[in-house]
Amino acid sequence: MTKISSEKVKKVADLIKLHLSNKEIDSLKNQLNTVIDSMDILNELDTENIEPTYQTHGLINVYEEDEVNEGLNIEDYPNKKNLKKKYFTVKRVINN
Amino acid sequence: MKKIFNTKKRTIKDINKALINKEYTALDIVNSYFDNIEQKNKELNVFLTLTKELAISKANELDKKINSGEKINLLSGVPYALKDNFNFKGYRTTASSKILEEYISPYNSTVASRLIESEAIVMGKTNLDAFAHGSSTETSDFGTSKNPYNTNHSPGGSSGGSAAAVAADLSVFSIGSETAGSVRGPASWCGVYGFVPTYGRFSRYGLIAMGSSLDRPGILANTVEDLAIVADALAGKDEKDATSINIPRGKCNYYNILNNKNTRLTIGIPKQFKDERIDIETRDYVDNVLKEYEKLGAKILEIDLMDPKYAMAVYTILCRSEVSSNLARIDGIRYGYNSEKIAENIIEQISLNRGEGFGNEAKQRSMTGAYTLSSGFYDAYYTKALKVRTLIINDFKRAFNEVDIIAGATMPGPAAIIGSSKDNPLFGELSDILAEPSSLAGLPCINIPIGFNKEGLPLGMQLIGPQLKDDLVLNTAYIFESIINK
Repeated sequence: MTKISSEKVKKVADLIKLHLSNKEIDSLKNQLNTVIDSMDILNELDTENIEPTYQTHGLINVYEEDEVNEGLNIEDYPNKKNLKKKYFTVKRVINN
Repeated sequence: MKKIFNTKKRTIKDINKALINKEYTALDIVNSYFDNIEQKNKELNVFLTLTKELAISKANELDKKINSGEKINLLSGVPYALKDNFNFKGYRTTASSKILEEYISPYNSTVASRLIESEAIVMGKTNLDAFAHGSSTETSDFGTSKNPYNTNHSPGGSSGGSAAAVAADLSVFSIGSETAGSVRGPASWCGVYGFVPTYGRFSRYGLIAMGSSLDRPGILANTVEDLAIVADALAGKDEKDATSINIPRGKCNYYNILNNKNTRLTIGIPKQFKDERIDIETRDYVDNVLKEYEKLGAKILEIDLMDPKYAMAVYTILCRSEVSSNLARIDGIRYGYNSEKIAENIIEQISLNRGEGFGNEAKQRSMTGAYTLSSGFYDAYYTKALKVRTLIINDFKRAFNEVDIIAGATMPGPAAIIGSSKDNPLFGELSDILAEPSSLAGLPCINIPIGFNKEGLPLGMQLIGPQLKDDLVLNTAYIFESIINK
């Protein structure tokens, strides 16, 4: 059963900021439909009154003390290609 | 003068003894492993990055220490391989993806820093399925690794490079990571031991996240004793991983208690792990090993677990949902691949970086995850899967009321021929079907190599223990090891 159309694939790709070619949209449409169909099997199981499990050893929220820690030392940052002086650089993205 | 150390199937204690008795220097040992790597890496495609300069300088430091009469650790000078999704400061961490091809780690993962403290020596970073998405290394953007037992076959994945490194004697042990089966699976296909502890026992800090509620670092080695020694170095609370279990470092002495053997256990064999979906030779081997164990006084009991096909669907939904969220941080801005194309705006720039930088598997999994998390589908897929996850956990709890430990095949069959994953968008999930239930429950597991099939490919059996019973899993595997080596 086809649940996901090409339009839906495009919409989901937009949501996750992923550029796709038309060929990829077609191929992903088929792959996604196969995968999503395989998930329907869960409807065979009754989960009424069952709590969802988010974490296997029982943690709910973990907070840390609000302390000032040493951050990234930019002098030491190894990905120099993305740096100019002390700043991260991005390509110019505004139209002239 | 260069002295060649025999690297065949060596253990941590072999290295330790050679160093303490001054039969070999740390440099001899490290160089001998690099000689092996030089001979075999081209064919097997195990290492993506070698850390030779660092390894040699660490070996020299250690030799000085030994010569001055200082005491050394069990792990001092032991060559190991690190899966390339663990950050190691100053070296590339690519996760086998083009988008991170040039990314250099500005910090150490906790696994790396604890191994640095233990004085083990890193040889390099190993190949995996890109972002660990797969069970064969075939989704790696840098080529498939080969199975050392037969290079037409896959070593398994995603920790395929790490498993092949140990199997081909390119390192004494290696570090892998598992989201569902990514340590146990390749360990099984490469004929080595592979251990993942209870979720949260080893810190995930600095491990490139795949499915955060499932990811676990793991160890691959030639013996159970080696797994226990490395586990002692890695286990214990890490403030940098909020989900790490609150048991301090040094409290887990797996190595010291390895001899606490209990041969009178009740071992549960799930019916669903030996049905027609499992290769017949694998089933026979598992049966034979269990029969030998029974002779020592253990009780073997057939049990009924939920069909693993449900775990596979739950895993597919949860893991891909988490993948979609975790890969969102990779945008090619501060690090990573940057498209040559000129974009109209920043969103388009990010979309281009990601579109060109990610491979098909990462795209497909992110897309599936974004779909199952999106408005209108969240309850039908994501929440439903979380509820079935509870059912799976309860199913194991019920089983562990009857039995001490669970055993069965690790993989549905021996190593697949390279190319098998092509055109199957669920290849990874299908291969890992016997690992997915225990991964969803975060239970400690181990692969035990139990022999070879007619074609000479390794076969594996897994043990699954109750939560936090990591010691029971290691101790029981230790007994199996003595049966198999008999």
